[in-house]
Amino acid sequence: MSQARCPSELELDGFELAGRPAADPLQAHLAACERCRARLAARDEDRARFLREVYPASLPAVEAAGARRPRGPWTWLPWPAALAAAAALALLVLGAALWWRPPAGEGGSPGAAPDGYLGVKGGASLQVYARRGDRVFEVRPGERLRAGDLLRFVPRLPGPGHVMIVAVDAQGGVSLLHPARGPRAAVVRPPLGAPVLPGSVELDGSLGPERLWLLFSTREFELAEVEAAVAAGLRAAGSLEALASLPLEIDQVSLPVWKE
Amino acid sequence: MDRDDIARLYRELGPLVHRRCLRLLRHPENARDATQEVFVRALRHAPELRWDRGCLPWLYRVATRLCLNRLRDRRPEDSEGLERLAAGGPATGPEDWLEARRVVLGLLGQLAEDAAQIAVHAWMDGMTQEEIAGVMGLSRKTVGKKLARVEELAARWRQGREGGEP
Repeated sequence: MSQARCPSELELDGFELAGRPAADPLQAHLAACERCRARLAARDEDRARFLREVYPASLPAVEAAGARRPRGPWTWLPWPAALAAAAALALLVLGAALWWRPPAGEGGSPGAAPDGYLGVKGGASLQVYARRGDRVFEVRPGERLRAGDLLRFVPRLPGPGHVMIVAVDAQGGVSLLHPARGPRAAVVRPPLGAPVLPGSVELDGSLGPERLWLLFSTREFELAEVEAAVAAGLRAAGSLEALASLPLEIDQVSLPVWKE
Repeated sequence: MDRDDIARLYRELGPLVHRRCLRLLRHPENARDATQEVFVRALRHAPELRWDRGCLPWLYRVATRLCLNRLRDRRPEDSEGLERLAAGGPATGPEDWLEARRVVLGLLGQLAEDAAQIAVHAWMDGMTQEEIAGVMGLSRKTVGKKLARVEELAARWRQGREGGEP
């Protein structure tokens, strides 16, 4: 007996991926439904068009992305990777300054704590800016971020020490955002004011709540310590939302965001 | 995963993702970019994905969300760039499928991301509530509630359009 309802796109995609098997229950429906046979024929045309026009042009980029080792749910983008000429360097500096400058009217007065300031007096603090297309905005607690958004970090540090920024997802997955490579926190000798960390981080398609953590200490510390603290903290708190601070003797501030 | 594996997967799954992006975006270059982007993201998640029909919900979710976000952010010159494509709607004729897309676009500014995604799956993909729940990781009950709300908004939107409101 053929099913009365026409199959959804999802069912047809599954049917196609399985090689349109002769024993599939969908076959009975297809035998009786001219419209669905036309849908399959249209799919054949679409596939041929993809293989002819899209596949050759886009495969190199896909292969290049696949050849890179997965780095977890966040991707670090060098900013930009190579600049050989002094002129290019000058442009970069100017570009970076324009990139992270807060939107007009937001937190721009020197010396005052900006609206998005996270931290305690005398301790470390963190501001995060996102670029979405041509728009730059400050990331506030609970901000909804999208795949493809680029983030930059502006930490204020109380003095020389070691700094690390991580993203923690609801399952306790920890992604190292700064420094670009582990396992140790980066040594910093902060100048006056708030330096923009080099590089930006691109959000991918993973979903749900995450928390960005800035960690600062005058002693050396490693990512493994942070991962252990996240695991222990999540066990004790029960959820990422309830995890206000990591059980670490390290100066820390965090910013909850939502990836959608 | 070596280059041959990647090329094979892209050849097998690429047409499905591209078709989806093209139906939503209706713009060849944007659809190609979106397809590429979905695959790049999929490869980042390669160790977690089953590369058979089991990865379809993931691909649907990511491709739909990406396209809806691009439609939200689109520039005027990006929109409605292609009307020559075969629509191939799931349960109804092409005209109905295109009409469903028009309603989704008309409501996009009012809908939360998950509600917009539910509307796409229900109206453009012809999915059952159970299928939508499976793809989005929601309960069927939640999908039913959100869909009912979206259908109310769609009815009002259609009334407004018929009454000459913008």
